[in-house]
Amino acid sequence: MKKFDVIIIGGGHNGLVASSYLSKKGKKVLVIEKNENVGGLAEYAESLNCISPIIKKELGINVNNINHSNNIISLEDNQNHTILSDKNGKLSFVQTNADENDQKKFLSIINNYKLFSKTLGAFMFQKPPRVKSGKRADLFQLISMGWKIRKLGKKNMRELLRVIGLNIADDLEDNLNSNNLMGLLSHEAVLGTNLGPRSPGSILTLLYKQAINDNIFNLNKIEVAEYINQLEDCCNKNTVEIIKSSEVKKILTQNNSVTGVQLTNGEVFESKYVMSNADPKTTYLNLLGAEILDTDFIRRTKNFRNKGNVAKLELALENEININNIDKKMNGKFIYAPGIKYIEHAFNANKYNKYSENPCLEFYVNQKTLSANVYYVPYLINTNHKENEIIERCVSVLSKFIPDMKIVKQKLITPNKMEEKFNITGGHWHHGDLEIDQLLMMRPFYGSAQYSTPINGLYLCGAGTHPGGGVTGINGLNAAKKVIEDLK
Amino acid sequence: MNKTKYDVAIIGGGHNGLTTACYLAKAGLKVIVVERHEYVGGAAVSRELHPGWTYSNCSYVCSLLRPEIFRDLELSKHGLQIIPYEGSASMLNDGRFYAHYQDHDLTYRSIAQFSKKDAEAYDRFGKDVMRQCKIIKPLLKMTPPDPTSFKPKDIMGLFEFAKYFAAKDELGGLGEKEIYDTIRFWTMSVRDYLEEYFESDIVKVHLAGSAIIGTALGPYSPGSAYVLLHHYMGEVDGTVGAWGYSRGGMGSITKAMASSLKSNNGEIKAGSPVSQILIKNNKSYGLVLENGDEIYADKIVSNLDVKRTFLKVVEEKELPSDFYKAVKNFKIRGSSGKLNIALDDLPIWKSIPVGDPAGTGDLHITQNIEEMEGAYDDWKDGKWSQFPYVDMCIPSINDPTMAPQGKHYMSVFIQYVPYNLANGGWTEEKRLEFGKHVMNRIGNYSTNFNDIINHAEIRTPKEIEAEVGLTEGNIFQGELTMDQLMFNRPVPGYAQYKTPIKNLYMCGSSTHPGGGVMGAPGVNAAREILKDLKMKISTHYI
Amino acid sequence: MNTSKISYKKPLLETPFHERTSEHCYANDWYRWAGYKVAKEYSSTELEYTSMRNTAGVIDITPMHKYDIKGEDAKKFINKLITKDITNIQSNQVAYGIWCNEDGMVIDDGTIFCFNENHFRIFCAERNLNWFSDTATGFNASVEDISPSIAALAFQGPLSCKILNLLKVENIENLKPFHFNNYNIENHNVTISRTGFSGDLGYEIWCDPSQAIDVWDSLFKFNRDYKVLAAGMNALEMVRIEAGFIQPNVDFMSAEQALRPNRMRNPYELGLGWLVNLDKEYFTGKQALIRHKEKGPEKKLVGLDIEGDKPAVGSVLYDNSKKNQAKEIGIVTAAMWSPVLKSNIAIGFVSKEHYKLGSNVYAEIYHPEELDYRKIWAECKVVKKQFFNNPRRNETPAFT
Repeated sequence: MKKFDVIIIGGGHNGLVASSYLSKKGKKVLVIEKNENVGGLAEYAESLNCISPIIKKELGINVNNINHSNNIISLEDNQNHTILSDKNGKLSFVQTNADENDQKKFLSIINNYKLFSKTLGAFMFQKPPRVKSGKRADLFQLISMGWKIRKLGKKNMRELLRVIGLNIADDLEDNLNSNNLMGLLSHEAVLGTNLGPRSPGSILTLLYKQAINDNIFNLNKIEVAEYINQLEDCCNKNTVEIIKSSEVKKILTQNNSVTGVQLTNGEVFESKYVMSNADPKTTYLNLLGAEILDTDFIRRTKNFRNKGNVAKLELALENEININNIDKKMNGKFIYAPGIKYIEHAFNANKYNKYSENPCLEFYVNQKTLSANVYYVPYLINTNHKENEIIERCVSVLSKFIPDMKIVKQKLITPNKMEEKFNITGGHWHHGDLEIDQLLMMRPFYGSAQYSTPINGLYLCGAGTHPGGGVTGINGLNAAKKVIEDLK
Repeated sequence: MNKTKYDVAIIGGGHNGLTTACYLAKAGLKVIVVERHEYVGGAAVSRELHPGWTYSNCSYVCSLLRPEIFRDLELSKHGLQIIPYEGSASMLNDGRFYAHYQDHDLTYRSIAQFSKKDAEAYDRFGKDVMRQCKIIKPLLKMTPPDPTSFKPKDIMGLFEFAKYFAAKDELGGLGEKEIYDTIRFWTMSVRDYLEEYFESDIVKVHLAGSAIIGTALGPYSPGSAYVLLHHYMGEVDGTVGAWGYSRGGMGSITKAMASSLKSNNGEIKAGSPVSQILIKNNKSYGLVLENGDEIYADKIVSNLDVKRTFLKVVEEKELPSDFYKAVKNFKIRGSSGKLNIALDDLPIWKSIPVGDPAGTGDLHITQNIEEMEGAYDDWKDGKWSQFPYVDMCIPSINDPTMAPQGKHYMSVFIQYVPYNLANGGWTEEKRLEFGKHVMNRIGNYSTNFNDIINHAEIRTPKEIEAEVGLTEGNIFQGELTMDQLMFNRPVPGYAQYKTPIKNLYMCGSSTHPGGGVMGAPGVNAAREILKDLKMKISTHYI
Repeated sequence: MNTSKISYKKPLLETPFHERTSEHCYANDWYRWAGYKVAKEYSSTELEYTSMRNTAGVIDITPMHKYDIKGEDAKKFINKLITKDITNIQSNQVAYGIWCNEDGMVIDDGTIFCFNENHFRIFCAERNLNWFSDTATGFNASVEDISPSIAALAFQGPLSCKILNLLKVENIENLKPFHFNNYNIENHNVTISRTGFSGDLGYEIWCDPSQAIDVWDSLFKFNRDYKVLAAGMNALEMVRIEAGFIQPNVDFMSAEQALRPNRMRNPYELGLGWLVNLDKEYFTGKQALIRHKEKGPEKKLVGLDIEGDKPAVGSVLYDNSKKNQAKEIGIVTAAMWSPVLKSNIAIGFVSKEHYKLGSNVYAEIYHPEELDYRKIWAECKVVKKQFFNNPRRNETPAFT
């Protein structure tokens, strides 16, 4: 029986970050991954704008930027697409139907959001403080958070406190006229959430995204696979042991403390510290078992909202893909979300556990292949969507822009499939909805925030913790720091 | 021309305007209320719109009216009486009905028919909501501190606020968990919130009704649970969350207030629409009526909603541009309709037996939360709901003054109805079609309803706006969403009943704590005005 | 319960004994218990009380909530639910236990009947279906509310065994305290447990509702020679105070129902620390209870022996014999004049500095005297809650 200082369940990017960090600190770490490859859900991440400077610094990772896709192309049925180009975070219009006033306002809204995100960003990278814990450090952190918001100045602070609870549609409609531009920003606000553009809280998700990715549009500037490779290399360099194609069956405990993990093949590894990269529901209800958790805690675990609603579509076509009215060289992120009403209608279906008849898409094109995020395709309990129908709906949208689509290969990965493959209850991108009641010190829920759990030696390090989803690694890093702190 | 100079002139004789007026008059100020109609009351009126019948034609039930105001203004002496509900019910399509009664054990058994677990969970839900009501109660009375201000009073206010939550024994010792519960309740969707307690559709939808009444939110919209709280935080004789009828209709409340005002030498000038507020050097000093008369006063208070105040009776040039823009972007959406129906007989329901107390309170026919959300989806597209949520009640069963003997008055509140109808907007035909649609829906649940309709007044948000003056016909004078609550209501930086114009105040439901026949904005405004005059308010309220 | 049609005219349910209880209830004074109508007083509370102390009293306890726990993990489930360890429980044994929430605050107490490893039954005062069901997450154990399917009588008093003997209930005298078994009362199969609230010899009889009337009648069969009385809730309240039993939502707020968090109580505060086994691997509230135990209770529910004869109902407790120097240190939750002890007794919360046995505290009693209140400053001695505990209660074979 092998012993480790820390065992990490799941080799998602957060698990890899945590393991690298811990091993750099001289800990003997084991990562157990269910699949053949590490990286987890990052496999489906279309784009990565940047790697957090903190991760870079702590792990010494450096991934080169790829240059080919710093355009954002918002498709319109009338083929008058809007093209935005992003140069080092500076946006400009390449072409658009929107009038000049709208263009100016659009950029100024984004600048405003950036400013607010910067303030929020300061909270993103830290362990969230607890309210009324009686601890001085928490109180100090709370006060400093308040101070940072105050530092925005009267006008901006007022605006921040207003838009934080507002819905994206209202703010855009107050300022813009162009349907296309409104659709574009709404898309970024609602993708991967259980919100529509008219749902309060949909600006907060956008601010969140900006804070985490340092870009509202989260452009594909870094190859995700490359990043994962680097992380894996970093683990290997630091002698982290990674075993793949092995599934953890149970987290072993004794007297409310972790003792190790047991694999499905019966093998047992011992450790006093276990970190779970799995989502909170899987961790608590399946790996740990409700039997050893307090009833109130079980109630909260069950109430955690984690219904995913984005599917991934991969198409291979016979011919090279050309988009109507778009120059061949103009590659980048394509978005089809033409207007608030369209997205809101797509969202309506999601509420009743149906897929959107007219889905929204975000996709990248690479010669003959196309890969897209499709929403809303809600996670279903006890049943599954008819995948061919969904693909058909997507193709009918795409064929508006891609003439003569001859599909050679097609693959749809629904949230249900993501659940199956990665053991993510609900197949949710972020392991759980990003709404105020599931953020910061309330993420995932009371009694489990700040990466710790009711079980001594067990930690959460996945997207179910603060600051949520996205390929940031912050969750893993913060959790690892917490482990180091407790190891002392 | 009226040459008398007043201490205070109040534009609009709604319940909040009258409340402010009463408190100021009680403090000895010379007060005049200027009202557009020949009658006062705003949205809290009783009107004989069909001979023999009295309609509570806008607001129709009472719970939120603060008992302290009732007491301070001696409204009982001035003729007001509140009759508590005996029960409430949702009728199911399968011929059963789900009911709440005054009797706790009976309610338990009623819920247990659908789910034993839910019947038990109802107590836990009630306790948790009651705790939130207790937490919010002192906040209603508070002038929201401005978190961006460095003025001592704002810093003290924020400090008090923090102290309130941090206190060890306040509210029975709120812990970390309870504070998070509060944040959750204030931000979650009502559907998610109810899912945490209940499994049965009818239980959830019956309770969710309170969360959508009057708002442009659906039960799936984050923030809707707060609206539920807004409807629960009232009380009838100490029973938090209870609702009641005002004897003689909702107009009795404002009639009593008007009478109380007169007994304190306050004046009411009815039939006098205001066309403009007189402003000079950024100071208001009087009003111009539509007939050209001018009324002068040291302080002007507007009971109109914030949009009507600053977009209609104040000129744009008088206002800072940021403020003007914020007012323009204030969300005040018409989403509710109303039917007032004169009935020749008591409606007989297919499911609820005659005489059952459940049939005398609020009645509903929505079957599940999905149907309720679907009603909202229709509204978002500019259509009236195909399956609207209705809140029906027949006050005449308990209040004989509302209808001739043996006949009845039924009030039907409808959610959702858009202010701007898609495809060409509202026409007279469409209004009638809408009314017919709702009545047909109700008729499905009754054996005689369709045959006993004597008269029906059909009101879309357009009619509510036209009569009461509420912009877009929004019953709360502004959406109750997070971006428009507390220090954000109505506009960030102007949440303390004051405006950018000196001596001009707001006292309507556009201000904290918002809508409902509650009176809290009215008292809070009166307190701020008196404070500025270095006077003290006399009340049981503080 | 679900079979009866609901009518607003009859908000309360009738127990299967109603035909008899209504006959005996000359005072027509009823009490609400979990949606049922049970007698508060049949004719004279004093006589009903005396029957339980002198002969035997019959109390309709049908409204108690009853939950069946079945399945492979039934025992594990119980061990997770309650604070004490029942690993060694045997079939036909009864355990008394309490359950707490995650903060170690008491939700309810109850008696747990073990039929076998895979089948337990819990009897308790409050509704617990949701708590039990949520607690069962992850266990192979089903929770079912079987309350309406069992009729129940408490048969308490020194002659209870004697009368059952006369009814030819075989071997009943050898039933040990906190045990139960199946018996036959005049051709009716019943379950009898040696449990009860009275602090004296007594049984609880569980039967099918269809046999309820016959079983009731049997107990009164020897009434001519051995006077048995139907006893109401008032009398039950008297014997339970004397016996030192506490009641949720009377002596403390159940943690599932308390609105104000600081009204919740942990077992150490209730003097129920003996029911908590912190050596047990796991149960809900364990971590919190470890902290509570370490800290020691801030206040504690104790017995009070009060001078004079005026019951200290609702009294506030103070720390000083001189009223003008006294500080509030507690509150009385239940009080009575005990006829059997000829003492003025009470149960109440007393703060840390004063809850040691033998301490003196002072109660301000508002005693009604002909439409006026006399304020009495009475000295109270802190004593054990169990004021009355007759050796008969634990003797086997039982007194006949």
